[in-house]
Formats: sequence, C-alpha cells, structure tokens
Amino acid sequence: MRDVFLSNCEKNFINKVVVEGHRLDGRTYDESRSLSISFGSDYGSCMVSLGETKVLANVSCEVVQPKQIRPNEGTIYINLEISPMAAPQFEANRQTEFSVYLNRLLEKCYKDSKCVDLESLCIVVEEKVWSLRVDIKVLNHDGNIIECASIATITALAHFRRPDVTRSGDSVIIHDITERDPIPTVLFHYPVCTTYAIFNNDVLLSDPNFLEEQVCTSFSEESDTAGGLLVIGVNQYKEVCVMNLTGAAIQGTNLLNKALSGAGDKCKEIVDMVKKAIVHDDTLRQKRTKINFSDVITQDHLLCLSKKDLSIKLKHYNIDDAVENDEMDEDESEPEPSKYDVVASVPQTAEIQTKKGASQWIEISSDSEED
Amino acid sequence: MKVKVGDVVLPGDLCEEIVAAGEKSKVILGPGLKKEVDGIYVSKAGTLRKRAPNTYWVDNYQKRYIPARGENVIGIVAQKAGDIFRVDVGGSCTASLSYLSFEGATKKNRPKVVIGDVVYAKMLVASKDMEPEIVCVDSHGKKGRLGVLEDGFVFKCSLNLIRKILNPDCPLINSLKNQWPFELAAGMNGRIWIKANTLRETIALGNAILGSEYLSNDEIKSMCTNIAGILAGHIS
Repeated sequence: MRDVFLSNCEKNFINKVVVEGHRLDGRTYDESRSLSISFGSDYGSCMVSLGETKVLANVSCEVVQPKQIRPNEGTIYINLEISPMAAPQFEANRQTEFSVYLNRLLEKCYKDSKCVDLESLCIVVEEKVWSLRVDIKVLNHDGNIIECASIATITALAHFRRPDVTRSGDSVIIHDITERDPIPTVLFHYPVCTTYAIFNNDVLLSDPNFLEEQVCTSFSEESDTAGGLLVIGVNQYKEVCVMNLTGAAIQGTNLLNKALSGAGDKCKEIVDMVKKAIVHDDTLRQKRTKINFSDVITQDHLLCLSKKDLSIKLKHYNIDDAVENDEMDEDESEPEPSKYDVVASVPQTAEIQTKKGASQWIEISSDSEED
Repeated sequence: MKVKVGDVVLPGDLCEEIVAAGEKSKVILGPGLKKEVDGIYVSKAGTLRKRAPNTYWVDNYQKRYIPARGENVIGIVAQKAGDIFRVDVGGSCTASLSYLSFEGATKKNRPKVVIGDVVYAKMLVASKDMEPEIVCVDSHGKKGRLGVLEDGFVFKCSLNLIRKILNPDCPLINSLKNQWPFELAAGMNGRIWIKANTLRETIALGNAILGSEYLSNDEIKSMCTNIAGILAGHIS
C-alpha cells in the first residue's frame, strides 16, 4: 500500500477548523453522513453507502463438516477486501495491515460477540452444518470503512435466507428456493461498529471522513496534539461488543464515557434503520417487485454519480438552493393516473382491477344531482 | 462505430472525419484520440470536440491525472532525496523537482522546502516511460506565480472542474472575486489551493468551487450570491 501524502496545510487547516468548533463538510461534531441501504436481487446481498464510502456485502452458504470441538454448531466466515477501486493507494490481491485490521475488527464484532445463532445452522450433528460466508467489498473509500462495512455485514446477515433442509433417514435434502421458502438467519442481537475521531484529546468527531481520519492519526511533532481513532461496537441494547483505539492514549474517562453513550444511541438508530429497510424490502419482495442494484444507478439518470454532499461545505449551504428556481418553472402537470390497478390475487398470479372510488367525473355529477 | 464531432464517443470508435481532414492539412490530436495504422481511434469515453481549424480532442470526465508537458500542477513534497525532491502530483508515480529549479537557488543557497509543503509548479518533462519532472521557475529563471504555497487549504476535485473554472467563459471566479478577497491556485492535476482571510471564508470558497461542478453559468452566479449571503449571515 502506498502512503497517502498529506500536506501540512491540510493538517493545519483541519486542526484549526476542528478547534473552532466546525467541520470541513459543515456537519456538527456528532453528526453522521447520510446512510443509505439498498438490496440486490438475491437474499443476503446489499450495498451500504455512508456519504461517499460505499461497501458491498454478500452472504453465501454451503454445507460443511463441523469442527471437532463444536459438533453441533455452524460456522461463520467474514472476509473483507479492499481493491484499487476503493482508492488508488490500495493494491489488488494483497493483504495489507489495514485490511487485516478491518477484518479482525469485524470478526470480533460478529463472530466473537456470538450474535448469530450458530446452533440453528446445524443439520446433522458431527456431520453436516451450514457455513455462512460474508464477503465484503469496499467500492469507495472516503473514511470510516469499518462503520460502513459493519452496517453492510449486519444488514446482509439479517437479510440472508438459507435454503430449507429436510432429513429422511440418512439422506438430507436441500430444497430449492422455488420449492420451499428459505429460512432467515437467527440473530440474537445486532452489533454495529461506530468510529470516533479524537482531536487534541478532547474533541470527538463521529463518522470521520478520509481527511479527518488521516489528520487525527498523523502525529505531528511541533504540536503535541494527541489524536486517534476510536472504534466502538455496540448492539441495540447498548451493550459494548468491541472497542479499539488507534493512535494516542486517551487521558481521563470523560471522553470515553461520552463516546460510549453517543455510540449507544447511534447504534440503536442504525439498527432501527436496518430493520426498517429489511421489512420494507420484504414487503416489496412479497409483492414480487423486482429488486436489484440497478435501481441505485438509474434513479437520477445523468447526474446519478454526482456527489449529493460536498466535501467542503458551509453549515447552512443547501445544495438545492441554487437550482431551486429551475424546479419552480417546471409545470406541475402530473401524468394521468391509470384507471386500473394490478393486484396480487391467488399466489403467483395477478389480476387487473378497476381502481376503487370510480372516476371523479361521475362523483361530481352525482353530487350535483343530490343538490 | 463511426462518429463525428459533437457525438458521445466510446473507446474503440473510429473517426473518419479527422482522417479526411488530415489528408488536406495538418491535424492536431488532443487527449483521447490515437493514431493507428488504419485510422484514428478514440481511446476515452466522452464528447468529441473540435476547434477550428484542425484541433480535435475528447472531452471526458476523469479524476486521475496523467502528466502532460507545460501544465501547471499542484504537488505535495513527499520525500527529499539528495538534490531532488519527490513530489506527489497525483499521477502514477511521483514527479521530481530539483532544488536548483527555484528562483535564485544555487548549490550553496538552498530553497527552504520541507516535506509536506505544497508547491505550485510547471510540468517540464512528461513522458510515457520516464518519471515526470517539474520546475518552479520559468525559462527566464523567474518564479512568476510558481513556488511554495503557504497556509490555506488544498483539496482534490475532478479534472473537468479545473478546466471548467479556468475557462474564461466561466463566471465563477468573476462573481466570487467581488464578494470577498481570496487567493486561489488551480493545478491541472485536479488539486486546488485556496486561501482567504478567515477559515469560514476559505470553506465558503471551497464550497462554491465544488458546488459549481454540475451547474450552468446562470446557476453559478446565483449560487455565488447565495453563498455570499450565507457568509454575511443574511440567510440562516
């Protein structure tokens, strides 16, 4: 991995801005970037973006022999990959210290916290168990990969469904998804990692972007500003699952207490959002709506790749202000609503119904008759 | 596919128009066009442009810098190696900057440059197979506007945005300069250095530059007044 060169003026500027109580992108200290979750066509594949950081997670399963010491438990394997697609300083197919660190944190957060019910993954004791594999790919790196990747992991695990299995005597039949409804994974709790950047040993920035991460971990000799990155994994019951600090040691307990209470609230919010997204996706799937990643791209057509948030922003600047005038000029004629509705009736079929409430024209005339 | 000027082109497209023009007079091929044995091919995705009489290029969206001779770039000094500095300009490898290529520098009188400094320099050698070389003086030995940039802030943006704000038709700089004083250096490698009196003004400047990327000229003007309003505290 090549180093990213950070100029002195960037360092000084960020430090000064943070000390003054602002952030470069106009956020407050404990404000996160916008989080969005989208699902792929298969169960267990999702894409999570946190600002400009984007991560793709995919869960797959296979039948393996269990470990000798745990004959009735399935296994879970987490693998995170960073390619040059994420940022040019990364090299392809090479494990770096950074990717090992991220992998280990995710393992601690999801494997060691025992959030997945591994016993439910057992098919035949000592012979066959399900092995879940979570593959995480970083698509774009703009800081705070760990938070984005952990949200993607938990979303993918919660969204994933494995094929149903029946046993008849010695033989085990794995049913296809079309044959029998797949079974969701049992999760005891939902841990999510959050990152805090520590500046000058007293300022906590939640969800730091790439530049803030770089500045707070870079040690400058002339100023004795101690900074670091604090990763806290908390579940929705505000129980701490992981804690990791890189950089300078924290002095005093105040800072840590503040970070812990902040992380607890934030994780609860995130978990609620993840659950809501999964429920929403589930209702869509039951209506047999086609869901895939292409929805993410075609939404805004031409400008779909343009950044929604600027990396340098004043607090009160609103990106839509500048184009507001244009939108006003557009005539507000809505496309005429269709008179017919496609409704799901018998399973796997749909029928066309006339919309209830008849047409408005008749209603008005009936009103006038009553008058 | 055969294409003509003004089309959206993709790599591999063949442009016969340029070949036909090349038979009559000399043609200049800009970025994104390649001469092969059997014609001229497009090598980048974008819009094919022409400037009279015979200059053709492909206008494309790109973030990665490819060094080109004569361009002004902003680099960050990454390493001191003997009598040269290694400067990161955002290309595939670092550029070299000799300590003698500063104004008034001699073997005894070394320029004061430390690692992490930001330099505004001109690309002197940019070859496919060699390390690029940059200098901080012009051909008369004067520094002009080149040299070490102090204070301020450096940020990255797409190469398009740089070309857009440097375009004389772009109203951004003209409408901003009446609002508040600032200094700005735009490197063709997708880096912009800005400096204003206060931190807030510097952030506002960066905001205006980044915000103008997908706006039309009229929208840029209204955005500039909008930002100036926020800065003055009229709009909360």
